Amino acid sequence: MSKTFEITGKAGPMAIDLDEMIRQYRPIVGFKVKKALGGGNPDWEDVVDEIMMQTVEKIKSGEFRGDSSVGTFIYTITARRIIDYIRQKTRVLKGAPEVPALPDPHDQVERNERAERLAQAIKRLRPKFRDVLYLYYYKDLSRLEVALELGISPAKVSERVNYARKLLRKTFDR
Amino acid sequence: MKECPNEERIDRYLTGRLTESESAELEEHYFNCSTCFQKISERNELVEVIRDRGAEIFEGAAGSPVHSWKKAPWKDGRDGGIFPPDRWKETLSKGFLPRVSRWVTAAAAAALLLVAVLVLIPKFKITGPEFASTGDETVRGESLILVSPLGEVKAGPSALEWKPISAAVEYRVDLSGPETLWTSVTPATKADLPENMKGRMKPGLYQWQVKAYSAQGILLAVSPKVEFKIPD
Repeated sequence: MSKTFEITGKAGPMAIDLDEMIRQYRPIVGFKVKKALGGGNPDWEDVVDEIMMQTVEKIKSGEFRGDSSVGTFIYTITARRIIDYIRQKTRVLKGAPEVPALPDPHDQVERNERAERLAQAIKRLRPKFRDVLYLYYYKDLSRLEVALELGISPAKVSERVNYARKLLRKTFDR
Repeated sequence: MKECPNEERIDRYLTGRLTESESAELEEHYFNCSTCFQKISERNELVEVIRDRGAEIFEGAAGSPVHSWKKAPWKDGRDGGIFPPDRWKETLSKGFLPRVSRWVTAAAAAALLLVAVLVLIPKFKITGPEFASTGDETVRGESLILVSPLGEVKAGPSALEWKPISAAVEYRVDLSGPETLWTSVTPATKADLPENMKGRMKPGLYQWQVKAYSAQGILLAVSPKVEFKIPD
């Protein structure tokens, strides 16, 4: 049974379905946490669970008063928890050996398959598109640097990057 | 951020080129905008695959650009090297599409390719592909975490410190501020600021970033740009 909480915010009354909120925001929180801690960090899923639990508790206890959007509220909790995690880890691990990163057991197989398909699709791209991806994303050059390297305009670089992405997306839509 | 970010801003976010406050603004936006989140997570998949498996992808693909660009003459032997000022001026003043120079470039590229086929490729056959021997996927997925200074500091820091990542043998640190700019390359996970530099650090907002490289000079990880403030 889903639990709905009524909140009277600045913009008027607001109903929050907690199950729906978790379903909607867990992937977004997961993305941000993985980006901050690294997908290979074995703790990332625990941190996401903690953030979602904290969010539910704060809504239930009335701490969320609707002064901001739910998204901004969850983002604030996420950003604070990540800072706490990094500080905590830095204190604990300073001078201690690094814990080896473990692969994520849940969606590893699917992610590997997708990554393989994507890698193969990039290999099959025409050189002019592949070269732009190589310089821009792999060699970490800016658009202007890529433009100078290839003798084309920065606008052309953007155009090729966007077109390459479009071609790659097609391989996933097939 | 009320408006949706453009493509370039998304790329700058995913490749760690936004400042901490710019990143936070964009992140708050995608926590509120499912369309942008969808776009960013999809784009991130591409960036991660290229960063994790780029050596294999670009080395293995026909007409691989890896070797020709790696040794570009104006580079300092490191990714993202600095272009000499005259090259910037020259290119900007001519515009970006000088047709004649494009033919010259094409001819030079063909000559380089010929040299590569005749001289370099046999050598690579003997030594084996350098990327395959070090291909540890989890290593390239690691994050580079900056430890200090972060946020508001009391005075100019004496050193910059970050967490190590495995397989990295060298780190490049870039620090920029209101009047200063400093770069250092070190095998350690800490870079001491020179004495004369510490005296020059006026109150204001500073940014720093670290890039990690493997023994082969391959870029393994780039940290986000982190800010710290020296108060008045």
